Amino acid sequence: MTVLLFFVFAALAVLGAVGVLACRNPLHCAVSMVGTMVSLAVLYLLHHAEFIFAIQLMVYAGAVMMLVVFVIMLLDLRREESLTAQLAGSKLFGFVLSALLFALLLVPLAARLTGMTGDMSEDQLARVGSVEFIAEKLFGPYLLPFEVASVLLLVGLVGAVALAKKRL
Amino acid sequence: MIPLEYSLTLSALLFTLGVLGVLIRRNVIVLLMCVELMLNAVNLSFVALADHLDSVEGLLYVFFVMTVAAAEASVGLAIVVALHRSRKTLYADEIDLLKG
Repeated sequence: MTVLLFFVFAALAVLGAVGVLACRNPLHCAVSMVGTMVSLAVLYLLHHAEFIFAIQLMVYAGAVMMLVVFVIMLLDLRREESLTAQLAGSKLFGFVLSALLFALLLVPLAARLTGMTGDMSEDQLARVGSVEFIAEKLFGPYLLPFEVASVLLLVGLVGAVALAKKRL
Repeated sequence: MIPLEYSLTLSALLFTLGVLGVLIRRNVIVLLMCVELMLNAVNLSFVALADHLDSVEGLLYVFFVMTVAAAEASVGLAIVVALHRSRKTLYADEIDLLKG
């Protein structure tokens, strides 16, 4: 059942990704992207990552894609056809290059893992729960990266306002 | 339990599609979306390996990747808005000021 659900949502994710590449209208691209992100959120749920599922839906499919759609609506949409017609050669080049990259990315599948495992075993998860386990790590050994991430978000916020302002 | 190979293959496929999009598309907003697609593909392999290895660290890395992605999207889209205001174009081929 889990594997069946995996295949359904994997197909939806790939379909959405192809839609991002194939759609002429950027708004259609954005909607396909939302589809990919929601399908990936379901895949995270199948991998027992409930917290990541929730923030994938809220941060990615919600906030980030809303921002993208907002910017697309803000700017004018000129069609891309006239330009891409001249680019047949570079398109072919792109396809060949990414096929090579895909083959390269599949190479590590043949390698064996080291066999080292972490401490998030099934009974441990049943005892404390997945979100609590993440919180214990995040506010324990990973406290400094967590605080740096908040500073990074502040820098992103101020930077976005400063860049999009008409006059500094 | 989903086999690890399935998730990693899907992740590789999505990453490749993101790279392909960056190579063949010209709209700057679509290029940003393709970068997001690559980040999502990497997140999927992090989550799959965290599940496979019973390690919570993979999930923490996904959390940090999402933070960076949110900051990247906001700054990137602000740059797109500023670019559109100054050069009236959204197409990567026409953004060639460094060529002189």
